[in-house]
Amino acid sequence: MRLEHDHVCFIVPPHILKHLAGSSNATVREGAQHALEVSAAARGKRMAIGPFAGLLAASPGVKRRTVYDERGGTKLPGKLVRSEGGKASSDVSVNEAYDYAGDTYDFYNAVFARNSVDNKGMRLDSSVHYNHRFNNAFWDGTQMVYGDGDGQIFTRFTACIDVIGHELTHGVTQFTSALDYEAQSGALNEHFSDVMGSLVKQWTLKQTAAQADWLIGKGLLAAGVKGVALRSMKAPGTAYNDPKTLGRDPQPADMSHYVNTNQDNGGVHINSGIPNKAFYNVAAAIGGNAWEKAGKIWYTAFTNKLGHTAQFADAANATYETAGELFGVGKAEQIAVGEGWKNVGINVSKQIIAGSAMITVKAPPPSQPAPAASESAYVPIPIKPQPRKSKG
Amino acid sequence: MKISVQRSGGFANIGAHAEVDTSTLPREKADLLHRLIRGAGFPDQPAPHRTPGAADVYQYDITVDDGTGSKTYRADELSMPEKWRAVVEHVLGQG
Repeated sequence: MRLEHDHVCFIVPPHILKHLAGSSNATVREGAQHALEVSAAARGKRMAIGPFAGLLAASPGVKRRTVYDERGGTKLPGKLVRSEGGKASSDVSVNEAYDYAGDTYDFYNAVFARNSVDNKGMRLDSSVHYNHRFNNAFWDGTQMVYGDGDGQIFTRFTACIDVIGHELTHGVTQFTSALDYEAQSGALNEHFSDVMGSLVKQWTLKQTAAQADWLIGKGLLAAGVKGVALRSMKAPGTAYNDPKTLGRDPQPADMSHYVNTNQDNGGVHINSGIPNKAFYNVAAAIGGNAWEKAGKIWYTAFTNKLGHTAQFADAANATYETAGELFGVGKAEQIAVGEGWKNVGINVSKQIIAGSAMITVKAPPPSQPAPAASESAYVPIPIKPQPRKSKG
Repeated sequence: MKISVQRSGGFANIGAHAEVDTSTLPREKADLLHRLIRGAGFPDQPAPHRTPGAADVYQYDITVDDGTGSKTYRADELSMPEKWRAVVEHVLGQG
């Protein structure tokens, strides 16, 4: 990125573009420029997926991973460098992508009995060293892709297990709720990835909700950048504040600070702070290991009860109802869910509260994956009180 | 003619922006940019290009103002037509 007399160009979060307008750090600008040079080769990706289709659905219940090396290119997936069971590479990025994808698979399998992204054992593909000094990681609809970071603002994106859990969870969402990647439904999509990314980390570290840092991307910021991570679920808006590089974390923590924007698909990485805070509230109130109750409520609701157009209020309703189904109506868990959302300015609907009160039997979570993308966001299904069977 | 490119989104949500006014450019550079814009084949009715199922990919907005009005064309990193990418890389590269 260069500044010339007749142009303006800078790399910063959209909300603080002005901060870098006067930047004189040539290295930072150059790194940003490299990140922008996305090769035209990426366009061949769609055609390349075809031959892999048959490989994506096989061997239920078996963890299968492959890691590819882009070597600075962008034509996915790149050169195969490690397969399931293969020996460790001398390349730390390859091993991180492999190990953390494995941890994420194990987490979903052990905690939610889910068999990979599609619940049918889909192979987990990762490509590392994408592009040059690329400040991003993404899910392309079929696989995970990681950049090395520019070394000035970001280090390599494979270094954080929560980043890998986040990207893989986009795959889970794609195969379940298929939340539209736009505005509130998109922010819920991002939120669910942050929740599961954080829970994968907490699960591997055996941390309780009280012990966890609730940060997304801790360790991702390069030395010298003023911040602890990219996002904080516990305190949205406080992850970084560095006028010279990133500016200030723009995430709101409640609905009164919801950001309306046409950037970032309607602020999907910004407004996710609101449900993120709600989830933290719930996990903190329930206590113990967050994946056991709060995580189970969220996973069950997001993979079974939300349609692709779901809004924040739909997520609040679905998680509230799910908490009642899993742990009992009016119990501490359900109260925590209602209060957790209320704290960020979202109230569970009276209809859902009334409907939930009709649930008298503790039902196990549905084991079948939800159909992709239902017509409506979330329609409560009336549950009739079941008569108690008298013994004898 | 004014052309601006805005990048947003991505896992880290780090944006980039560049704006060029061809009337302030040397003739040769202005002609090159005009050719790229003409060659981009922007549709009369802008419709966003989006990669199904993808998440955390960059969003690009290309805004072209030819003096009679401005239009914005949106595409994500993976779905962007090749000729649009030429405009994006040129404008951000010049910036």
